[in-house]
Amino acid sequence: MRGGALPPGLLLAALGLALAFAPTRAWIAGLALAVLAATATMFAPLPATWREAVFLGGWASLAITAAATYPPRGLSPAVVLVLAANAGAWAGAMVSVAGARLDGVRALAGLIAFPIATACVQRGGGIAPKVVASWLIAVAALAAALPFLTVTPGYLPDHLD
Amino acid sequence: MRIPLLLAALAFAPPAAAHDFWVQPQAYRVAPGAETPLTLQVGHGPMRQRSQIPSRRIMRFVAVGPDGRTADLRAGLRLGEGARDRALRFDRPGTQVVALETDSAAQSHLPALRFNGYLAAEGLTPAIALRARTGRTGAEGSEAYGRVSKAIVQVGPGGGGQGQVTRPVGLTLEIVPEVSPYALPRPANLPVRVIYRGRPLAGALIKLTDLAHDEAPVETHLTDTSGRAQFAMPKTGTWLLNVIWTRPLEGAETDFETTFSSLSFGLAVGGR
Repeated sequence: MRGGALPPGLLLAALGLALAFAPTRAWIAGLALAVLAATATMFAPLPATWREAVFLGGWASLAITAAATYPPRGLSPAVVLVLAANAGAWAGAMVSVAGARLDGVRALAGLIAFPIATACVQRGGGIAPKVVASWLIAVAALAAALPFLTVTPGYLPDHLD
Repeated sequence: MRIPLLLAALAFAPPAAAHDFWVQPQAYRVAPGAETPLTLQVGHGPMRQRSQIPSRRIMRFVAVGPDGRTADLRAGLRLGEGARDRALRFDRPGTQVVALETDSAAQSHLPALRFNGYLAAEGLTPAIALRARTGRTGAEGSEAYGRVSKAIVQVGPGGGGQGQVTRPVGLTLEIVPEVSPYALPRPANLPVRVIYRGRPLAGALIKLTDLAHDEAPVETHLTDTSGRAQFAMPKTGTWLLNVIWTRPLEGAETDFETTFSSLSFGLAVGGR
């Protein structure tokens, strides 16, 4: 969980879930903003020493974005745009510090969550995306906490020095 | 409650696999005088990342040119700064062998299950046999380890003298091609020798990995009694050969001293 397409993919999936609860008029702008922000930070030459900080920011953004499925009155368009730009920026940054460019393309698959969650919400099944969102929050909390826990041999990648 | 915790633990436990290290020029074929960025990479698939190794651990970083002369590359290293660890630039045409060697100051301590899996996956038979013989198969395994890596860079047109590619440069554990992947016409096979501490190494597991799809190797062989193995020559792309070997230590902080060795090269379409 410290590289490749999975972390940014999960973040973009969380954004897809959040967009399903957003006003329809914010959908296209939100998606476009997320992709633009991700592209911009993916090509930014971020120092490798920022890796841990970038992933911490990415996990925090994942939790916040996933939690955006919960407000009972939904999200305002302005909040959606901020969430989209934030999620896109952190997703691109994670690819920049610990992934290949192709991982950025693969991570976009996370946005498939958007039409699926939208279909659920429109059929009165909004609970399903919320369950997935709560799982994503748990993943983010665990992944963010791992670097601060006492290392248990065997539960962190080996031979990286 | 226990089942979700177990599932979460399994989801976050990486597979029992070691992580290879290699020198990765952005381009393996460059024009004379042109610059190409170089990074040090570690891991495969989703675990692949820029190496965080500090400069002080790099004991040797050289380029061996077509005339046999060796240039020291350590001065230009800027590890972890920006998007590259160094820039490579060669003014004269010919094939350059870039070689890097670290100390063996890194350590790995793994629980028995994970360590045994790693030894089996990498074919580290001396360690497997020793642990079985001494009844320590169920014990935690510890290693001190170091890295050696070579990359073959073609400057200008291919062909020409390739002797520096097929000669050892004197690394602790070294993969030495018996034909150059850049020879013209391109050979159909890629025979290699593995040399460990100056002698041919038999029984070592050597892997060939396509760096564009590096989750798993595409071809693996055990070296024969003369330390040789033969691969089909890839047609195009960037490729990594790697081998790992270990030796037991006595009275040391760790059980074994392991060396990770790699050789990377890039092939253009059409054998050029």
